[in-house]
Amino acid sequence: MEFFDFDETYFRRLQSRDPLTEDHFVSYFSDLLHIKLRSRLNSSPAIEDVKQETFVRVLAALRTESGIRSPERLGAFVNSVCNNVLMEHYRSSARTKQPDENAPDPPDKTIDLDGFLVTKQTCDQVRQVLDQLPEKDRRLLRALFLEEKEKDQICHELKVDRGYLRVLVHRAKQSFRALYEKSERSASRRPIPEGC
Amino acid sequence: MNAAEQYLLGELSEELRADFEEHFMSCAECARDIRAAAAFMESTRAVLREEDLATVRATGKPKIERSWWATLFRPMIAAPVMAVLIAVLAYQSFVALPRLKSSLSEATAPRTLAAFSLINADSRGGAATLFTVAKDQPFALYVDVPPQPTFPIYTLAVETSGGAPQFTVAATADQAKNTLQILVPASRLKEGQYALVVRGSSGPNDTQETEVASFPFAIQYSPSTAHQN
Repeated sequence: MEFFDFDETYFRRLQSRDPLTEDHFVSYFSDLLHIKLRSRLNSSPAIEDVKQETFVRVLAALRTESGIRSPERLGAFVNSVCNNVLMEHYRSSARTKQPDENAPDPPDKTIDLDGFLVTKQTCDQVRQVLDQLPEKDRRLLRALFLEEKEKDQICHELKVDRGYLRVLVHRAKQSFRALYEKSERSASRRPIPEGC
Repeated sequence: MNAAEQYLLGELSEELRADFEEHFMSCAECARDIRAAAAFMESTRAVLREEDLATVRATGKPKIERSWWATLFRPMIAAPVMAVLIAVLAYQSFVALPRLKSSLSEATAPRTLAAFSLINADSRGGAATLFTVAKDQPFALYVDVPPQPTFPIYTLAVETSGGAPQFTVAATADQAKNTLQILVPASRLKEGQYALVVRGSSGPNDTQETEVASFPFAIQYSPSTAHQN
């Protein structure tokens, strides 16, 4: 995935329905919308519905005279349309009396992405990062990500402060990101259906 | 921890979360960061989960970190402990407490007490006086301490014929002027040959005691109680 700030050329290609640009646009925002929606919707079909409706409305708005005209506002516009679709989805769900199925998760809940970004390659990269960590730090990450304990409890049990936990997660992620982006540049993602 | 990690770990307020979402949709650098952070967290979960599965396959035991108190509640420890506690409670409820209540009731209930006298017995270790007692019932022994020689403190010890002490009671010189009554608790003396040995000493710290008298006696159970448990 190529990340860049959207410019006038990109914007014109989208308006003229260039297939490669449309593919890139959908691919670019698909993961970001999934990350956003996963904390607000519990079912994968609901997430896909909201995503698809968002793309349809954004692409349609780009081709109207009164639609968005500033390329640098494209991301904010996608987010705004997604929020509107999401609110309509909530209202629709409430009308059909199925609030539990699509109700937003509590705001403080850790986002579970259902492993949609997990590939064999990312698992290998994580193993490389974990192998370089001391046993105590591995236990911290296990408690945080796998056992999903409260952070205060983790810090108490492993005798570290919240600052240490933050720095550990940040550094581990940065180490991973270096490997991840290097491989992203050289190869396309190959998702596998079951674990690593 | 930067915004991407805080966002994914659910540490941002609702307002900051909405602001950050709008931002990472527009900022290529933050879009890269949130995507990398999400991939890292999800892949870390997957790798650790895979390690757990491998551990379970290899050892049959899950690799889960537990605090010491949580370990106490694991079934393999908690279940036997609970079983032992239940057994102890059952024993106390159905055996120990009823027995204690019965003993207390017996101890506090008025009753007759068998009494045997050593007053006229031979104090120089002659023939033993035979007492027939009820098994598992207390009884009393009467004895006179010889007036001479005089000591401030006396001990009266019941010993087996081999000299093994069974129990000892103390008496002052004033008490010894009168006939002494010794209560022998139930089951304290079995059938056999004994002697009540009276010794005198000059004080509580005096380790040298002088034998004043020895009254041999024998215990046998009355036929009606001899075969009780």
